[in-house]
Amino acid sequence: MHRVGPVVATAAALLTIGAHGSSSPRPVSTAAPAANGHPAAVPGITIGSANFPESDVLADIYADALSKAGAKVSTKLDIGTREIYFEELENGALNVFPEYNGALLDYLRPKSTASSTGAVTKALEAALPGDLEALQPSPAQDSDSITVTAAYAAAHHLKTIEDLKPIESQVTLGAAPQFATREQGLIGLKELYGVTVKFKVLDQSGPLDIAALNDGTIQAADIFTTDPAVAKYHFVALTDPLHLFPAENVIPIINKKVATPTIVKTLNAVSGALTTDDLVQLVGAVVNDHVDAGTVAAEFVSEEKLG
Amino acid sequence: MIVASSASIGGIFSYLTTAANWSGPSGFLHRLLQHVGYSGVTLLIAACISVPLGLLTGHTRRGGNLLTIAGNASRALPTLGLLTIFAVTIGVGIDAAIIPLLLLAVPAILVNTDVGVRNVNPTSVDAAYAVGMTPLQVLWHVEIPMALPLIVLGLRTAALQVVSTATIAAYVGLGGLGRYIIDGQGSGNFAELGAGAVAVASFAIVTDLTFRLAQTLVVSPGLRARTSTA
Amino acid sequence: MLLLTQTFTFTYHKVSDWQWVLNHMSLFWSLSITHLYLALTSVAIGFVIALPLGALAVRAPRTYTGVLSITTVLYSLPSLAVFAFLVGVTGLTDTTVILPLAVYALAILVRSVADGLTGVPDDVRTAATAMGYRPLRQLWSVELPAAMPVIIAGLRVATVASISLVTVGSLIGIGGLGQLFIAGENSDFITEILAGIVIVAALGVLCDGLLTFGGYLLAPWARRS
Repeated sequence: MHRVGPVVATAAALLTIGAHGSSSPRPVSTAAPAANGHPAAVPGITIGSANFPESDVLADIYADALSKAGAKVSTKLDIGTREIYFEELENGALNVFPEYNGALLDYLRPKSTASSTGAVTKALEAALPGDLEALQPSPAQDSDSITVTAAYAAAHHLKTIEDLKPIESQVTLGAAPQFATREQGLIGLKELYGVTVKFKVLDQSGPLDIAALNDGTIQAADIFTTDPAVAKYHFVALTDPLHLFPAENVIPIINKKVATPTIVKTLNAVSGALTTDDLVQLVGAVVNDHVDAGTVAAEFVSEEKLG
Repeated sequence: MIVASSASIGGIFSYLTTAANWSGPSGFLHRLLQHVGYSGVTLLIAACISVPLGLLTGHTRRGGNLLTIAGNASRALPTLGLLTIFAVTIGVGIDAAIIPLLLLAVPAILVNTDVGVRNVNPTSVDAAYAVGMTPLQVLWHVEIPMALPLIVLGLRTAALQVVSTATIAAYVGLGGLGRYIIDGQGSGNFAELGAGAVAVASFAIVTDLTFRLAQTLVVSPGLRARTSTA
Repeated sequence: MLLLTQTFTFTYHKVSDWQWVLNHMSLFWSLSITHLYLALTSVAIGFVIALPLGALAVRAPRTYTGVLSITTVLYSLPSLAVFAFLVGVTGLTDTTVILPLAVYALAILVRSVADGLTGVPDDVRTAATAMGYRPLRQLWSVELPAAMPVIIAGLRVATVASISLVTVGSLIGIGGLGQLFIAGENSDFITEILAGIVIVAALGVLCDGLLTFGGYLLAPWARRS
């Protein structure tokens, strides 16, 4: 078998070229610390994101702004659902994360009834585990909404969720499976608005919901307010005066160990500069125009002169 | 890091044994029937296309190269890629799933049928011609019965492929047992995810056993001694 | 204090699909490396186990049927189901994908090794014994090389299947080229999905070709057959 040796060796070499533990699809980015005279050593930041474009863009914006401010930044993107990434936040594998105050509060305290930005943020601060803190909420929000097509809204004169009551027997609503059993879902819909509709299990504001809305399989869906499909297909989000869905401001969650004054100041500046319209544009560029989240984030940071 | 403790295995077990999870449109029974339906219909259509075609190419001993290419292509083309590309062009749901389902089932049946007929003992075939059978009679009375083990093997392979593809197709909106896996993954509900995995795996094993049984039943006794368990 | 700023206006213009592909070559490269790592490691592990197992099975035919039944049962399990179940045990690590794929490769390769070894002509074996080869040395230096063509054929099938199956892992969050399919479906972007399909198929063809070439190198006598 004297020929086998070289072949095996080549194979082994080929295997080791690719050998690395991380299965993250995006190359991990590290920014060198800027030499701009900041006195104290700024700790290493690991920013995470969930696996949807908006989260990626926000994480990239934080990363860009923070590295411009002199921090050593690395990102870990597209992690997955909250069950997975929050654990990494708690154990320190991640130390900054772009979150939504209402959704995170619901995850930590499902029974909470806070609905305004102030109340939700306050309750969230109380609910976070010891190491983590929430910085300032941004005016930008991306919340759940009950959304219909423009044609359907026009045909039945729908403006707010309450307007569904007269036609509730004709309405099938599509959403992720957990929508059926949550307060911020079918249960709250019945309790607050007295509206009962049929339910179809689809995805969370994803391609299945959108396709079903467009072809009429469902009449309403739980669509995120900044989803690019809303602008693309002219959907209409019904207003929610009784606060079925709480405030969902973008808010940075940070590990206290890395919350130096510079970092906090930078992240709060980012939060202040972000508006809901900005989110719509940013995510729209990523999803509809297929621009990289990193490119979009970089342009935002430089235009708004953050970091 | 999600580590399975007795708690999460217990979670899967309790999901599987909760009566409510078995009834209704999101229940196991309904989704099982859906899965059987999609798989069965696809297999039937694929068989109607592939078996005659395989018999033709095997009997005439033509088209071997094309079949090799088809076989290799079906192995090399990623299922998820085919499903998503049809979902994006045609729209989500069963329409997107049906073409990949067929595309991945046909080669298995086709190749096995062709090889089965092609490699029938030449002596037997010659003998059949010698006693005066027409080509069609040779096909029907000699080649097909002797190729049956491989034909059924092809059907069995295709059936497993279809069950697997249908599971993945839940991602593009198809119902069936794959829904538990996709929905469980999306909502982080590991009990649902694991329960779906167990359900799909069990269904696959049952399908496999059914076809193995069919394999032993359809093979004529004289051939049984010579066929190896595939 | 919240600063009020004007709405940011994005000035990027949409690029052509070809330009998009060219812009993302490095992404394709890094995804391919991860992908190949997962697929090839699985096949390698399966192969390393299949060699002794197959050789053993040939010596003791009863264990052959036993081993084969176990591996074919495992092979019949749909990959997504196995990945999904393992996520609870091994988490979001490479092991979750490599373990089942190694088992699938094993199922294919045990068969190939056993078939290849049984296909070695008896006179070759007899000649080797007559020349004084002890059993283990005989296996390594005579029988395995003779069985090479069949084993290589099995390796080709296992490798191509492995490369294709790694894409399913993306549905539960393990990296690889499957990410292109998920991202492409989320943004209705055919080019991205197509790029993924093309790359996966190309990697399969490439590895298949390399293995065939390797087979020619290792068993030049088989070229004539």
